[in-house]
Amino acid sequence: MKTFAAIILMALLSARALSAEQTAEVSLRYSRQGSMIRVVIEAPDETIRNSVVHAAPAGIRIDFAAAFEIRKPADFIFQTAKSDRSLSIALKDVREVKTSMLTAPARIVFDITTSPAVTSFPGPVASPGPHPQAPAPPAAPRAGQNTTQPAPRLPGARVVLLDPGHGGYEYGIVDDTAREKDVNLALARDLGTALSRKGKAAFLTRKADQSTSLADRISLANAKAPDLFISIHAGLSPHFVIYLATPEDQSSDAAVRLYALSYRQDRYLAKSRAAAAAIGLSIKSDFGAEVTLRELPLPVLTSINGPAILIEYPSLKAYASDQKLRDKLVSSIVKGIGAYER
Amino acid sequence: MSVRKAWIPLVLVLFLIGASVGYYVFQTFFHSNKQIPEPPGQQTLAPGMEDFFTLRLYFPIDNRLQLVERKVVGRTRQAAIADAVIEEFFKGPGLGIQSPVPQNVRLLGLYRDSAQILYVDLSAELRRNFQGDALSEYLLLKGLYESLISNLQDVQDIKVLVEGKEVETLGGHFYLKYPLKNIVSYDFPGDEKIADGESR
Repeated sequence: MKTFAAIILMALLSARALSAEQTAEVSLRYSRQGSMIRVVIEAPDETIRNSVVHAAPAGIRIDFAAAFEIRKPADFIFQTAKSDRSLSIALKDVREVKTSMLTAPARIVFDITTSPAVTSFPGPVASPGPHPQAPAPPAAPRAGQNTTQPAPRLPGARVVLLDPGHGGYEYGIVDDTAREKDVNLALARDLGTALSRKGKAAFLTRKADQSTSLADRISLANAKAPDLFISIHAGLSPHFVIYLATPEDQSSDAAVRLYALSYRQDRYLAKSRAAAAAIGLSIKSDFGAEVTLRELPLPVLTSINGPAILIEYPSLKAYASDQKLRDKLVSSIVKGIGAYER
Repeated sequence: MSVRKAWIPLVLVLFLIGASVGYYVFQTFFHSNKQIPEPPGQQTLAPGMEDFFTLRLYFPIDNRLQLVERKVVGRTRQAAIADAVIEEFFKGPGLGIQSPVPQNVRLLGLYRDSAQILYVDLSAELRRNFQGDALSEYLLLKGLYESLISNLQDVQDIKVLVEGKEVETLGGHFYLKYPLKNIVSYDFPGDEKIADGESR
């Protein structure tokens, strides 16, 4: 009887061990080529297939369906954090992350483009002629040329980066006769020209009707490190609205912040508000119209490493058809920038 | 064959039977709960026993979200409730009320992953028919998020897909390629007017 009991006990113990949850081994490796870093995560097929990947320029999080062990090279380029079933990789100075899930062998591949290697940065807005007192604007990198450092600051000149909203297949607000993307571009070009006449170095995030992603606009702005970033859009309000970034939410825990969207604006909120107030006052004075300030966590503001505002003009139709109205707005913004600098 | 030798195969057979039964028991009762269970109280009722269900919908109206309650019939499972929320949300707040909710948006699919993120796959009309500025876009995303979260149990976050794909943005102002919770967690307090005396 004792022998039977011993056999059954051993059998049950063996079964427990056999049925215990398998711990998958997850291995990390990376390679670098120019500005691109490739991170490859390899694991058994089922582990990869049942994983959920969240990738953003600020970080990557992979949730696995089961517990896992991690194996990575000692010189792994990014900081990692592991919990029971999830792996976080903190990214820094990253412009874009592309994710692919591949089979045979099963793996997740992240192609990470780092920020400094920005290509095809649009050149400064063409000025009708050099201003007598203005130094020449910095030479624009040729298309395809890498810009690894922000453009050198010119003594006495201020760098303004103008961002015409939308473009390409993204039309913005549309009515019978006008498309927001076209009016934004016309205003940004006119504003760039007017600022160049005043001796500023003015740049555009897009110079033609082309699709430009939010991530590209942010990367261009942070590579250029302008003294002021102005995004131009049409609004549905009956008056002008100037947007500012919201302060970063400090209440969330570190893990959430790692996973949160990139936030660089906090240091510049006071300057952004000063620029918004100066330009807003100038518009209010010139147009005799109400101007409101509005805080929203817009990516083209929160992720900018410098003073940044977004201006929404009212009545797309009027600004599309009336060059004088556009000139008036441009002149008003230029005056506001002058007041902000003082 | 001696009696002692005859015991050896018997012991082996007993061991194998015990191990098999034990393995089955452990697998069945300890590791079989990997499927996401329906929360209690959400099981399908028998036909004919379905009741009205009140949906809480948050519509962007006049630069803020307004709660609208709608009664729908026979939605007791989580997936069916999510389906109803999307259907009712994209019907808009009602005739004559201005709202940036785009028209003719169809729900193509709903998926929930193990991290309790609900993937909402919508038709291309979501982007094509959206006409709005930055605040309209923000309130539309927040309204969709709040409407789903407040009617569903155990959903941690919402991720929107368009035609089965991740897209960067809905209307060119906010990201759509990330789950919505972080994006819409800010409570818009309202506008601030620029006063004449405003300065640095």
